[in-house]
Order: sequence, then structure tokens, then C-alpha cells
Amino acid sequence: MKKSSSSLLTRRSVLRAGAALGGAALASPFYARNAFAATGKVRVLGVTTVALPAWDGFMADTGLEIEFVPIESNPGLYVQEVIANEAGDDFDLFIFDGGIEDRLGASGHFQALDPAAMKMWDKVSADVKASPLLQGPDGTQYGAPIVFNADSFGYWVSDDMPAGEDLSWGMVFENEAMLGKVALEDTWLTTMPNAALYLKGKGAAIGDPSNMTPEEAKMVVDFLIERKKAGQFRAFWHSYEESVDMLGNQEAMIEECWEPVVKQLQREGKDVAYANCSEGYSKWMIGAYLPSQAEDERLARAYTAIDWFLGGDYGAQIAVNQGYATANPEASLQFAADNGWDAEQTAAIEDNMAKVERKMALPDYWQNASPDHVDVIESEWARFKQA
Amino acid sequence: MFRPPTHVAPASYMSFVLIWGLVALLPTAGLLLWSTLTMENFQIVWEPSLQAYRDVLSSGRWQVTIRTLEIAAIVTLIEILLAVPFALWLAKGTKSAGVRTVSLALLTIPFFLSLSSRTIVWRGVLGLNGPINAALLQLGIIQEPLDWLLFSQFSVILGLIGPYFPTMVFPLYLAFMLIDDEVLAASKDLGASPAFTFWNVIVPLGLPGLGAGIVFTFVPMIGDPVVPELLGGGNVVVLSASVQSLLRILNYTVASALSVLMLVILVAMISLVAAITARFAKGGL
Repeated sequence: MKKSSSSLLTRRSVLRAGAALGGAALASPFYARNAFAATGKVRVLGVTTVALPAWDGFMADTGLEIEFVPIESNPGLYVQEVIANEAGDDFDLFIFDGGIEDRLGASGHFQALDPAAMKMWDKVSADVKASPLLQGPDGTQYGAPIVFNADSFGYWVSDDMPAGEDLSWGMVFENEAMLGKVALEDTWLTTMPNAALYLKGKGAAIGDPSNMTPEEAKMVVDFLIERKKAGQFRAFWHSYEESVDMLGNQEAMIEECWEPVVKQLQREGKDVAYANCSEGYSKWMIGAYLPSQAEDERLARAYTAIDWFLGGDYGAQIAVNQGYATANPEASLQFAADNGWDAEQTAAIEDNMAKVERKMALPDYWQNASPDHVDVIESEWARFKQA
Repeated sequence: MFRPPTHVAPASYMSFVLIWGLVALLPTAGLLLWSTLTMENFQIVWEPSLQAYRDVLSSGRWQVTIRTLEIAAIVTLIEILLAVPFALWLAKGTKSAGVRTVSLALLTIPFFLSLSSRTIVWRGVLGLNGPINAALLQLGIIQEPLDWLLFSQFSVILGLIGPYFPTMVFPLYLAFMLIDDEVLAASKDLGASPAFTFWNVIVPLGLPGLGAGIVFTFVPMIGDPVVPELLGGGNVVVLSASVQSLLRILNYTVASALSVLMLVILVAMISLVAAITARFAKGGL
């Protein structure tokens, strides 16, 4: 996967914890072997961010083998796999970035979830389950929440920008004191809605930043071009490693980025912080979706797998390894307590709970890889990049 | 430029044409076809339309082709200026087989490393806090770090020079090697200055090598995504990045239109170069 440097949504494939096992997983599909306990195998096609270094817990709890085949985080690729290659024939479960279910659900490639088929479903917070990244436009529940987070921007702490305070997205997009010192992610998927969030906060007529009309997209890009001409932006990053470098080397002092970037730099002793935003966050979600081909035994195994992903073992591992949120943090805490995890690990899970309460509940916005006018939005983004 | 294949068995000639048609012509025809359709909801709509070309114009994407060609042309020109003297020295200047072998090996060894890892090094060197800016600040030549050293067209061009040097040197070296030493000696004996010999003997005889060098350097550079991405910092958008962005949302029709536009420009340019070369070669000899 040479494309670790490509732009869209590569987060899931390059993240720190994901990266190591991603390499191994890419070399060959990960087969968990437990010949004695296994009564069957569940086959999962999923992005590497959700993969674990080892699936022992899964096998012990479910009695199933798991075959996890990684896929690059790229909506174009999923659609191709699901529609053209009919991946549903081969896989019992898809774990993709949310947003694509609107189309693949409507086209009959995903089937709706049956809440009664999962023991853990009722314990998942209603706010999280109702994410538009899991439901179709008519409210049909296509996905179950697996891993999610709320993204903002990282910055070097200073008197003007202290850590912990609520900051505006204007620090990134309209900051005369930081001309030429801001780095953005090189994708319309996050940068355009984040700019829209800022403009909306200033009173611009924007409905949903993650599903903009052509007029709204044009307004946002006109603003971005104006800021680009003013010299606001230093560079655009394409991969996790690049974003770590740019902020770490002070090539940029403020950077739209993922949370693990700041965590990594803080571990290196750098005085950077991850912003709390006054206008809202770029919330994303990786969901589990059922292919329409899964029936009977296959369907039952897929539900068993989803149930396990919604449980404490998985959530606790993701919280500690990646700092991301999962569906059922209470169960994660319970799992950590039952297994004698230390205070630092437990604190990582608790941090996540607070973060989820504070950030995930805000109305705007859920990242949407497949907005209604995606062609226009991508084309407007090209206009910005050209300008 | 091509000799008709009179000495080739018709069967092998025809099979070559057939294979070429399958692997080169057919996809190109597909590209043309797709560029005249539209997409709705990830599905191709089978109705002829020029919408894709209108999108290429309205989004300013056509400028990407111009910029890509401009960068590739500048770098190719720089490579010619660097590679001609080097290849000439290698072929005619040094008589030592050892020096030649070592020089050629030195040109090849960098390719054992991936292009990304060779390119990323420039980031540290050219950055705001890199050694060049630090030295210039220290010497008092500048008061503020130069921001155009990195994430600019300058850094992209600089980064492309290294990787595409050998592709220009090798064909030139082979062409210069084929020039008989006695031809050069005769030119000298007849009283020609080194400059006269260079322009009237070496250049015309080396033209096939120059032509091959240009093709092997210029054409792959147009599709190269690595250096512009790593050193352009998103400020220098080239064709490969623009096409990739389109493919990620499965917008095949606009991606095809953009590729067709590039193909048309390239064919026009190569025809022009071929015509000029043919004319020059005829007149020069």
C-alpha cells in the first residue's frame, strides 16, 4: 500500500497502532487459528484502524475464527469492491468509514440491522447509534458503531493559544497573526466542512457542513481562496507521518490534524495541544455493515461478531492503543477492572468517555464521504487547489 | 523515423500490432468513450455528453495539465544541460573502462532506494528550520526564513532533477559511444574547433539518444505523483494528484476527460518534436 501518502481518509490505514499490524495484515490476510474452539469462521473486510494485533479474545468469547482482510480507507474502493466485485459473496461483514451506506443501502447491497439480533445493542448510546453515518436518509439502521472520534486541530501552545480553552476554527482559517503558518489536510472531506463550520459560526447561511449544496460549497471555496491569496496556508498534508512532521518541525504552528498526531508529539515532549472547538468538530465513524448476501448461518456469525465489537474487550483495547472512542465505554471500563489493567490504561478509557460526552453530542457535523453533491464539492476543491 | 518492417516476418509483425492494439489502443479508445459520458450515483449514464470536458474547464483543472507539462519541460531542459556534458565525458572523455563502470554504477545505485525515501530527505534540508535557512540567517543574508525553498514549484523541480538524471544520461551515453572516434579525429584534422565539432558532428549523430532521453525523462515525469506530493506540499497540483482525487469519488468521466486532454497535448508535442528532429537531422547531415 504505497498510498500511505494519499489524501482521503488514510487516517484509518496509517494510524500508529494500526500501522504496525496493518503491515503484517497487508502481507497476508490475518487468520486467527483456534482449531478446537472454532465452530465456524467469520470473514471480515475492514479498514486497518479497526483491526487488533491479536484476536485471541474474539475467539475465546465467540468460539469463532476470524479472517480479517484489510482494505484501504477509500470510499471509491469500497464501492468498487461491493458493487463490481460483489464482495458480499465472500465476506460476512464489512467494516468501513460511514457515509457510504446511504447509497449502498438504497441500492440493496447492505441489509438493515436487526437490533434484536445483538445483545449489546441496547447499551450503545442513542446519540451514537443515530449518527447519519450509520443510518440511511430514511432512518434505516444499516450500521453498528465500531470506532469513532471528533477531530479538530493541533497547535503549539502560547499565550494567545493556551491549552484546554475553547478555540474558534478561525485560528485555522482566518488568523492574521499566523499567516503562512497553518497546515491543512489535503482533502475536501474534512477541510471544506471545517471551513463551513467556521463560516456558519460567523452567521453564514450553511445548512449541513457535511452535505453542502453547490452554492454553499462555492461560498466556502471562495472564502478559502481569499484566505489562500492572503497567504494563510503553509502547506497541505497527505499522510499521518507528514502531518506529524509538519507540526513537529514547526513548519506549521497550527495544523488541522488527527488526535494521535498531537498525542505522539506530546510523548516526544513537545508543547502542543489538541484544540477544543467552539463551533464543533469533524466527527467520524467507522461502522460495521451487513452485506445483503449474508443469510442464515453467515448472518448469525456476522451478528455474533458485531456483538463482540460492541463489547468491553474490544473497546478497552482501542481506547488504550489508539485513543479512539467505541460504542460501549462502560463495558470497556468493566473489562479493564476485571482484567486488572493499571491506572494509566483505565484513565485512557475514562478520558474517552468524557470526550465522547463533550464532543460527540454537538450537532455539527459527521464526516460524510458521500455527500449528495460530491462531484461539485470535489470540483470546487480542485478550484481551491488551483487558485 | 521508423523503417518499414521489410525484414520482419509478417506473422510476428502482425502479432505485435495485435498486442499493441489490445494493450494500448483499446484502453485509449475506452478513455475517449468514457470522457464523453456522465456518471450518476456511481453508475455510468450511456448518453453522449460533453459535461466532463465542461467540468475540466470550469474547475480550472485544465491548468493542471499546463502546470504538469511546464514542470516536466523545465526539468527535462535542465537534465539536457547537465546530462550532455556528462554523457560526452563518459563516452569520449575518459578512456578508462573502470571509471565508466563505476560512474554507471553510481548512477544506478540510488534506484535501490525507493523514490519516496530519497525525496523526503529534501524536506529536512529545505524546511523553514532546515540547514539552508539556518545558514542564510546566520550569515545575515536573510532576516526571515525563505518559505519558497519548500512546498513550492522550486522544490518540486529541484527534487525531480536527481531521479530523472540517469534516464537522460543513459541514452545519450549509448548514442555518443556509437560515434566513431575517427569521425571526431577527421573533424579535428580538417581544422574544426571543438565547438564546431560538437554542433556539427556530435549533436546530429547524438540526436537519436537525445530523442530517447527526452521521451524517457519527460513522459514518465508527467505521471509521477511522488515528488510533487512530497515536496509540493499540496501547493503544486499535478495531473496524477488531480486524477487520483477524481478516482476517489469514482468520477471516471472527468478523470478520463482530463487524461484525454493530456494525451492530445502530448501527441501534438511529440509530433512537433519528431518533425523538428527529422528536419534538423536531414539538414544537419
